[in-house]
This record gives sequence, C-alpha cells and structure tokens, in this order.
Amino acid sequence: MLKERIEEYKRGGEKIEALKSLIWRLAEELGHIKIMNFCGTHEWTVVHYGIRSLMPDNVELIAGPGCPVCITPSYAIEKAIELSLEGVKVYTYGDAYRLPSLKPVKGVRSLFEAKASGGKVDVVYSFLDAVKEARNERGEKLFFGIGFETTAPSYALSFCKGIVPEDFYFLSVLRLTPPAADYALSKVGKVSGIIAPGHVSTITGAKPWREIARNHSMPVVISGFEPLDVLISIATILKMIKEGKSGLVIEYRRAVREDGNKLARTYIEKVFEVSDAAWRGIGIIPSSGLELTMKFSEYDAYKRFSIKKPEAKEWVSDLPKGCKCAEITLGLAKPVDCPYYLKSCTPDRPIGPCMVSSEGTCAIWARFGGGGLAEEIAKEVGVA
Amino acid sequence: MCWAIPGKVVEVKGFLAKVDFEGSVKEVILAVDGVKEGDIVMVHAGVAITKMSEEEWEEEQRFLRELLEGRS
Ligand code: SF4
Repeated sequence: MLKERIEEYKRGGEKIEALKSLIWRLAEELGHIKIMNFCGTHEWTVVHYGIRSLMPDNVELIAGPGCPVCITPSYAIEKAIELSLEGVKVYTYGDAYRLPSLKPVKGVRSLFEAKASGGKVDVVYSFLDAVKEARNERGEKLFFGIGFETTAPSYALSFCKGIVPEDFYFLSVLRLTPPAADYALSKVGKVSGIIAPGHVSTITGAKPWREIARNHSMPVVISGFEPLDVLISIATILKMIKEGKSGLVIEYRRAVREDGNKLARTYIEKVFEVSDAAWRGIGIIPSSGLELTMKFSEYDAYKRFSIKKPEAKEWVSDLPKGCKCAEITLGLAKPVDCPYYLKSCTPDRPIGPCMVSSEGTCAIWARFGGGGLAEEIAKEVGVA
Repeated sequence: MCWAIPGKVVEVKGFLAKVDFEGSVKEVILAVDGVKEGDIVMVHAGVAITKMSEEEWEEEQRFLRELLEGRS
C-alpha cells in the first residue's frame, strides 16, 4: 500500500549513501555552490539529519525566508496583544504564541505574556477549530491569521462556506512565497540553485517557481521533506548546473501537481486580494501579502479596529536591536553570527522571532545544533 | 507551519471529511476536488490540500532510480 511504501522510503537505507556519493561526484569540478531553501521544514530536515555534514566543502546550503512566524511584522503582534488585553478573544496558532513584539504593550511582549496578564488568548490547532470555539464565545473575537500559501486555503474555504461567525475578525498577515524568493535572490547575490517549498507548491503549482528559474537562470527543484527528498533535490540541482541547465523540476511528485491546487486557488482569489506587505525586519515586499476583499470586509480586523499598515516610505526595522533575523531570513547570515545566539537569546527566552517558531532558523539550530551536533545525529541515523 | 501530514479519508460529507491519522480521526476541510473514501490526502492545519496517488509515487521513484543510474 502507498502509505507503507512511503514509510519504507523514509528510512532511506542504502539510497542515502548512493546519493551522497553522487553529490560528491557531481560537485567535484564545480566551483562554490550555494543552494537556498525556502521552507522552514526543509531547514529542519537539513539540520536534524545533519545533511550539511554530508556535503562536500564547495556545496553550501543556506536557509531563506521560509518561516511565516519569523516574518510576521511586529505591528500585527502588538495589535493582537493590545486587543486581547482589551477583552477581544484572540485565537492563534501555537507557533506564534510566544512570538515577541518589538514594543511592549502595557509591559507585555507576546500573546503568551498577554494571557498571563489576564488577556484573552487561546491557542488552536486549526482555523476550523477556532471557528468552532468562536461560535460559543460571546463578544468580539480575532484570529491571528499568519501563514503562507499552504495555510491560506483553510481561511478562504471557511469564509466562502459561510461558517465563520459574526464578530470574528481576521487579522491577515498572510504572505506569498515566490515574491519573497525573488526579493531574497536580488539581495543575496550569487545563489546557484533553489530548493523550493513542497507544501506551498501543492497550492501554487510549478508556474511561479518556473518563472523564478527563468528570471534568475538557475535550477529550481520543488522538494519533499524526507532526508532522501532533500538529497535528491540537491543532486538534481548539481546535475543541472553541471549540464548548464536552468529550469524547474518537481521532485515531490507524490504531492505536487504541475498546476497545483486550482480549487484552493479559486477560493483564495474569491476571499483575498494581493497587496504589498511588510516582512519583519526586511521591509515592504511588493505583491507579497493577502488581504480580505471588499466582499468579506465585515470580517476584516484592519477595518474594524482601524489598524494601519506600515508603508514603504516610513518603514523602520521592527526587530530588536542587534537581532540578525532579517539577515538570517535572507540567507546573508547564520545564527552563530549573532552575538546573542544561545547566550541571551534561547528558545526559552527568545529575543528575536526566528528563535520562536519550530521553523525559525535560530530555533532549529539551537535545538539540533547547526554545526557539530548535526554530524552526531547523522551518525545516529546511519547517514554519515 | 507549512507542514502537512498524510491521512486516510474515512468519510466524505460535502466540503468536510473525516481523516484517519494513524488511528486518530479528525474532521478536516477539503480543498481538493474528487476526494473519496480510501484516498490518501495531505492535511495542513485542518485542511486537505492535496491528494497522493500511486502513479505519481511510481513516477517519483522512477525519477530517483534514473538519477542514481545517471540517466534521464
Ligand atoms: S539568536 Fe536571537 S537575537 Fe540573534 S538572530 Fe536569532 S532570534 Fe535574533
């Protein structure tokens, strides 16, 4: 059965060894190769399975803007904290619960702290769960609507199907990945290839990534999340570089279709429109956000609570002083480059946003050790 | 955040479905067309975002074999 076969595939076995030697062979005559990933889960796989330690010296794997929690602008967090303290019930994903804002609101810097100070905050697993709970909750409610393309359909379908109760406002901090990828590539300089996000692509399909491959003349591979998937994607990128090819390959065929999920996109287009949007620490990226359309404006938290979005001309960084999350998100720095990393900034007492989410680069490195420890883990799973 | 896990569809009711994840059954929203009982779907934050199929799995395995054998 399909499921059992996938389970077996996950164990990788001797294929991992074969892929490792293929990667070494392919990289032999190439110069310095920089491969960027755009999904926190890929970075998780890379670190957790010690994939960096399997690479030849000239193949560098860098993390890009792949964590929706990390790039959620501070003004949105501050507003959610403020509303929760004023009696509006705020629903959030667990990932964003401890996300620190830049400015404290009445001495409070996260939804977690807001709850401890008497604010009304509830952590939910899904928007559907929040909708169910909100039906029995009196008064005004707010959903802290973070996410990339993968998460947008859950919101869009719920609004279209009319299951969202009145007085349940949606604070959209939804962001789109391909525009951010384009932006990151324009900042980072020479990137040789991209590992594109697998689950985002189940929705978007191949088209936006094919455009990026064309615009930047580089190989882009939409990858699955098992260590084997990531190694296949790296080998594919190296092979394409060696053959002088650019373009898009879907490695994660078991889940990603060429044209993505049209049905989900239709719902997203009915409920949301594309707008310029703020990415924490980075600034306003054109056409990189989703906001509710007029038709659904009765649910729009920005309208109900007169929330003002920052504009490009007045943008100032919303990261704590010294925190390097923006550089890390753009692949320009590594967590170890930050003086606070594992000193004053830890997963228990995070200073910046990328130490919070399970997909934040600093949090992943802190948990699994981006450097030496990775090799030990690799040994443990028998791949080093 | 963008993590999705596979589950087996046990019941379809309009745009909702019950999906079995290794024994725990959850109600999810269907964002994919033509899902029926027995299908394997990938679920993210309570929403089925894509369906997996035997043929595409085969194709993926072929891709891997060809890569390792230095063809394609
Ligand atoms: S270690 Fe902490 S302060 Fe430094 S970049 Fe990471 S999140 Fe920011």
